[in-house]
Amino acid sequence: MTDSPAPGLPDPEFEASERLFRRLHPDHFVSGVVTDAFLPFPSFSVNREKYSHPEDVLREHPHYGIAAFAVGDIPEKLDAEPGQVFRFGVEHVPLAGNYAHSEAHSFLEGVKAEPPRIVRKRFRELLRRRTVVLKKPSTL
Amino acid sequence: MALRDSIRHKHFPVSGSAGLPEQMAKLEAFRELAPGWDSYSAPPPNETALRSAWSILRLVHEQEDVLPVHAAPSAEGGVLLVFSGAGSKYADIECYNDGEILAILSEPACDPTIWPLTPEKAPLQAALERISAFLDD
Repeated sequence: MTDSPAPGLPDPEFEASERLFRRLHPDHFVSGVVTDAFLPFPSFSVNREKYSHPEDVLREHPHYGIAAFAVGDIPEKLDAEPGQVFRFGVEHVPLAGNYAHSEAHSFLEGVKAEPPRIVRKRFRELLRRRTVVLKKPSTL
Repeated sequence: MALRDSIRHKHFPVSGSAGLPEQMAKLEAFRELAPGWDSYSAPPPNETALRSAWSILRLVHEQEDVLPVHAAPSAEGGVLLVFSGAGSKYADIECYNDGEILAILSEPACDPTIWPLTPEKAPLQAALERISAFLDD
């Protein structure tokens, strides 16, 4: 973890190896397997490793688990229909009290766009496969 | 833990091998979810998604060999039915709030197979047989 370059300003540089953290709801971890139900799309929030610790996502949610994947694990692009290619990426979007907050988005020709459901499902499954559970959710 | 306590904590621990009444009760409990139930901004499952999931769960329990299934609210907006498989195989059916239903078969090193379903008995039955064959293979 490093200090922010300037208070409140986003840092657009992400290394492919940088990990991203997201809370894991107890119902989304089944028989030792993470399900894709923990990922909404076309966008979702994460905390970036460069400016946070994994446990930071658990503030106020101690019984949740911690899911992690690297920036490079996010599929770069997926085809929808011939000639229609959706690309995916992560942006640093600092929040008050959470400088590490970032968002994954999908883009069509450089503009944020919502892919068809079947593309979203494929994206979520590919990312699910690469997701590592750093902390299992607690059963209450 | 009593189901009532689980609802309060927005977590529904019913095992994959639970009977139909327990799983139906779990689906009913999803009605208690508020927007943001996943601690982010997920919408709760609506009546459409719950009805689709209910139909599929009933059909699962009509099968000769009942597939272990785990129902969960989905952050995408709807209900996810996850089927337990051996090893690294993964299969689910996701019922969305807008009425769309997708099934998926997935195993490492292979492109996932995804196909749309309609909430009628014949395509759902065919999907369950396909999932069962995939998980047993």
